[in-house]
Amino acid sequence: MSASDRILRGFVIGAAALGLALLSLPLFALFLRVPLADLPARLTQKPLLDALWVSLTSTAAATLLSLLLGLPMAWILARVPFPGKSVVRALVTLPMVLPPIVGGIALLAVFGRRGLLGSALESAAGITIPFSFGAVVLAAAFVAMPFFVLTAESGLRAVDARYEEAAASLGASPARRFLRITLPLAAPSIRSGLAICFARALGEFGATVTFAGSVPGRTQTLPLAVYLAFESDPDAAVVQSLVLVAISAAILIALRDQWLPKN
Amino acid sequence: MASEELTFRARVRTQVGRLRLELELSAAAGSTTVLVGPNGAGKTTFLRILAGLARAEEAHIELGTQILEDTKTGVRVPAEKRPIALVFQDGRLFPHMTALENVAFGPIARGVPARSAREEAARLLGKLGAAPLASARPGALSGGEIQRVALARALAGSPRMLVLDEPFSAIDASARGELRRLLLEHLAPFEGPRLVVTHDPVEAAALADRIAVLEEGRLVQTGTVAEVCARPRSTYVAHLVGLNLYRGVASAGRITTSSGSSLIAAEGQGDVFAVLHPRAVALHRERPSGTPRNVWRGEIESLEPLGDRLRVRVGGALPIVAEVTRGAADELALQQRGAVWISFKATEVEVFPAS
Repeated sequence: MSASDRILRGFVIGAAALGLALLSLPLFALFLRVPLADLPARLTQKPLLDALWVSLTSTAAATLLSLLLGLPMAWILARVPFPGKSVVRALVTLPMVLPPIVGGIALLAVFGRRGLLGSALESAAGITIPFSFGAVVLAAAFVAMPFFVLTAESGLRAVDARYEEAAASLGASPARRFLRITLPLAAPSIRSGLAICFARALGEFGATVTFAGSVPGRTQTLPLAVYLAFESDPDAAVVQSLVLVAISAAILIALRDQWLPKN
Repeated sequence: MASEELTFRARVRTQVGRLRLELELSAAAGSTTVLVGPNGAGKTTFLRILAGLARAEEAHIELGTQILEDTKTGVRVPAEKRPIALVFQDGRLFPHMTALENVAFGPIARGVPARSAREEAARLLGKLGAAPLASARPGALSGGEIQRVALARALAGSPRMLVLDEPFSAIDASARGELRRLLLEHLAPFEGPRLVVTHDPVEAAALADRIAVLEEGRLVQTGTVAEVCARPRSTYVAHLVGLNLYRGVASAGRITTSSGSSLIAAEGQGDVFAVLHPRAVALHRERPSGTPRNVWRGEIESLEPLGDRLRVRVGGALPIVAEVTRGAADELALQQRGAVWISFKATEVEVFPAS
């Protein structure tokens, strides 16, 4: 091995090790800060349970919304040729790369009291969305749905259309073909799309705080609670963070087959 | 007659890429039409149009009294409503379902209660000798097993017409004989028209009541196997059917034809077809020595050039065609008339049941 090979080898191994440290050391440090003595008591404190409840219900609702609205979109993107598809795909992808706080302000521009739809909604139906639980769900869906749509789209696209043709020749209606052939064959991608969507929605902060505020028990999600507790009660913030880590780890374990291929 | 009502007629005109597909094909109920042709001739496109999976500029397709498609009147029965069952080239079994679920899929889709559909599927798998495969996923099946299940799946919906697209292409040679027997056995009782696409002349001869030859989007020849074999009308057909085909009764390694001539083959029992490729036939000036079990002398009837080779027709009790290189022909000093010794090995004779 030449000197330059040795240097390159040292660099690759060193950089990889540093990268791994960057990703894992903070979590390790977080565990060291956990106040073990009063952990059980802190885990059952009302502020944490309230925020956990808001987080889980809003994230579940946002994921469900993403499934209902996103799956048809993914299917159209995957299977139906139409002009301007790349524009549509860009619009779908944009929230993924947008700073979430911009998303929050944009949502206010639509649903705010003087917003595009907000004023009409309020005068016609008396519905005010901002700073409600619904706003938490919308904010989470806004940032997380693109992850689902793009993952599901690639999964649906990968389904061999010839199986759908075989099903048609056997007498299956378009609906049956989708439900019995396309959907099951794309199921792994749809599952992992839902998980990525859930994980992204769970961690949403910027759009939520801007569009839904931080009302304990109603719009205050766990990430918002962590941020607020950090100033007043750092130990509480650590415990709440620990709960978020646990949920994320659970998602990862549930989908280990998709995300952690066996070498 | 119910069978009369099930005659299939198709007239299709369309452009597929650079190929102009223009053909008219009919098939009688209870008979097997084999559509042969080189790759890119439009065979699969034609099948897809029949099945309603692809569109044609102009099409008139009818099965019995039912018009499946008529572009003039705007009639177009969707694929799922056409009583045509397809067996695809690669079987195309649904990978996420067991063999049984695959076979039961069609009947369930057409409204048969799941329970009776599964019973019917199990019965069909049993009939096709695939009962032990019922709970296997396609990923665990061999090519031959996949085609068995695919045939069961096609038959399960009680279709009125059966279409098989290159059923032999994805399976290895050793499983072909068995699949051929299986098709012969199970196509015969099927009452509707049967349409089989293949590029394998042996399969074509084995299965066909009628052969239709498709080249560059057009039918160049149709007829019975014997008719097409006797008068090939294009180089492709000549290559395709340029085989020695005999029918006879096989017993103890000897096949005796109706004219009383016989040849030695390595296998076969009862009423059989024997196919011999002309390239397997050697020609000699003198009586050859050595292992070939079939040796006789005959009169040369004709010499036809075929590419860089020569097709030599040798008459006699068992007329035979040999294909030799021009070099070999020169060495033998072959002439339009004259006697020649022919020989071929018993193992070169492919034998399959004729009934």
